[in-house]
Amino acid sequence: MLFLALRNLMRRRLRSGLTLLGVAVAVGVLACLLAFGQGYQRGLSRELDGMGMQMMLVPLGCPYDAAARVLKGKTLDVSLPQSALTAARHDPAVTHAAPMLLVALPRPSEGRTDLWVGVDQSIRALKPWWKLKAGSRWFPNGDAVILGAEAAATEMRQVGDSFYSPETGKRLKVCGILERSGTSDDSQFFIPLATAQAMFHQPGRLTAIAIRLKDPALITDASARLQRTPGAQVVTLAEMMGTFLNLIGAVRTLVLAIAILAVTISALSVFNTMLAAVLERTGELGVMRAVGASRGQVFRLLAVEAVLLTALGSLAGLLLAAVAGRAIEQAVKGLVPLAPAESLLTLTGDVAMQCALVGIGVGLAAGLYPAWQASRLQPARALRLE
Amino acid sequence: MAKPLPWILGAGVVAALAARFLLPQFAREPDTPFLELTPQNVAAQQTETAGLCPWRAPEADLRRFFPQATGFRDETLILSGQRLEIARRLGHPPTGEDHALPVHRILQGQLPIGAVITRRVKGESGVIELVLAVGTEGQVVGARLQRLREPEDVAKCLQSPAWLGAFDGKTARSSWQLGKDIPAVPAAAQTSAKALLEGARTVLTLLDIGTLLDIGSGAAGSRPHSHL
Repeated sequence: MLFLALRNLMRRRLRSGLTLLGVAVAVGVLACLLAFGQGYQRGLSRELDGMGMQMMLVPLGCPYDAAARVLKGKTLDVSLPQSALTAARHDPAVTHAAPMLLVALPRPSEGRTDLWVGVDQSIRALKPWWKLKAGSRWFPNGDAVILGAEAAATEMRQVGDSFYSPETGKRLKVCGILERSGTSDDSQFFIPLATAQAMFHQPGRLTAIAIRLKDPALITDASARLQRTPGAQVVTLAEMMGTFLNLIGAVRTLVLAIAILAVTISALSVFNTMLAAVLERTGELGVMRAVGASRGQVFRLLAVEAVLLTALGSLAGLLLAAVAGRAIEQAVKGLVPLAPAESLLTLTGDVAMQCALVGIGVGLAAGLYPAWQASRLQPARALRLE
Repeated sequence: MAKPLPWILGAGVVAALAARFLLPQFAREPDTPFLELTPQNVAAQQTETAGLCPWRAPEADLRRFFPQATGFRDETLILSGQRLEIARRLGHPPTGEDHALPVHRILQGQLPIGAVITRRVKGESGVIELVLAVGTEGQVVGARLQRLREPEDVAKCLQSPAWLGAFDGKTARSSWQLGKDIPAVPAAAQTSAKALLEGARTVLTLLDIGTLLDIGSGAAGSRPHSHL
């Protein structure tokens, strides 16, 4: 029966091909969407986990904006008192609390902004991806600077070179250069926290405190305790991730609507193709009935044709998603907030199976009525019409 | 060819798989030219190089150095085929920066009246960006430091008309000796001053080689700009 169904589809190649293409595009869009959703969530989760922190203490204001700005290496207009660091370090659930003071010095005539970040030793526990280039070492004294890879290349600095801040009159020695990490750290100048506070006249002030807990399960209690720190507020990365995923979810809903529309159109296309096939083949179907084919056999033949058409279309759609998905991913990466560096498009077996089932299900549903119509044909009437 | 559909589908699947797995492989093929790994070349390649230096204030520089200009055109001189000549003229192997030279040809109407070239050099305290205005004979007609991170006294000395003005009239073949052809500077400014002189001589040499050989004149992405 499968062979017969395939032969029937081949008799109208152009129509079958166009219908197949419609199903392929619909299934491809659906596959990309589902794969992107899963990949983004997994990638973002892994990236936030890799940051080595579970929460941040930021100054009062919009917590998500503040945390996102700090994570992306941008400064805040307000700052935290140093007492917030003491409170964080004394919290029983906290294993590491890393203070940061971020200062941006715009250089408009040069089309760039110098970003100075005051840190202490504790930052190394929270930035596990940091690798110092050969010959580098951690701050030996207060007059040392560690440069991000891109900052070092732009300023043409090597370990041991001098580095001067014209705005503050501070001369520093480059003690280290970070390996390229693909994060905003690449373009920053890291100096000891106390040096940064003195250079920028911010004694006892911080921009943010990154916190890692002894056990992530303690996050609710720790968050409640630290929330009481004067002038500070807590933002957990899980909350941040939830916010970003909500944003993505809204976009995803819109795209899903488009995918549903595409699937619906493809279903109508299959329905039209199969109905036209029944009308064209009235005489043939009448002969089949006349020579002994049962109503069930005729029904099954048409249903198999519809399923075969959509199964091939689904297969082509999955191939399309695998081939074109990377290009779509690159375009999408530029549009989403905090896009993870790793691949966003994870076309797993689950996603492929779901999409194939949707495609085949659509084919089956769209083929039922034409198949039922075909099975109802009376041989004598069919032959007379022919 | 009794059953063409399976063949067409099969061919489609094979083509899709080929596109999926083979095209990225081709894309990964290195496109950098071959470089002989002599110790000198390795040392030159290990020298830290920054990206291309942009021309940050074209309008102001045109008003200052080429007041009669009506516009300019961006060109890139591709010099990677001239490594031997560059090495001979500079006295050391070319760095990664020396393989292509962005040149801003200054125009009066359609007539070229000079060029502006820029160069990043390694100053004592940070990068320094040099802008050189060059006449049609390859002689410097003006110089400016568009970015530097030096202490105030050093910056003042290096930006002084007495020091930068001494660049005027120099060409790629001139002598650029500090304290002899160019005024001496205080000890604190020596490193940066020498780097600037070497940068100026290098970039003028590259322009000279590119212009004499008429390499890539306008071929590699010529982009016109109207001025004022």
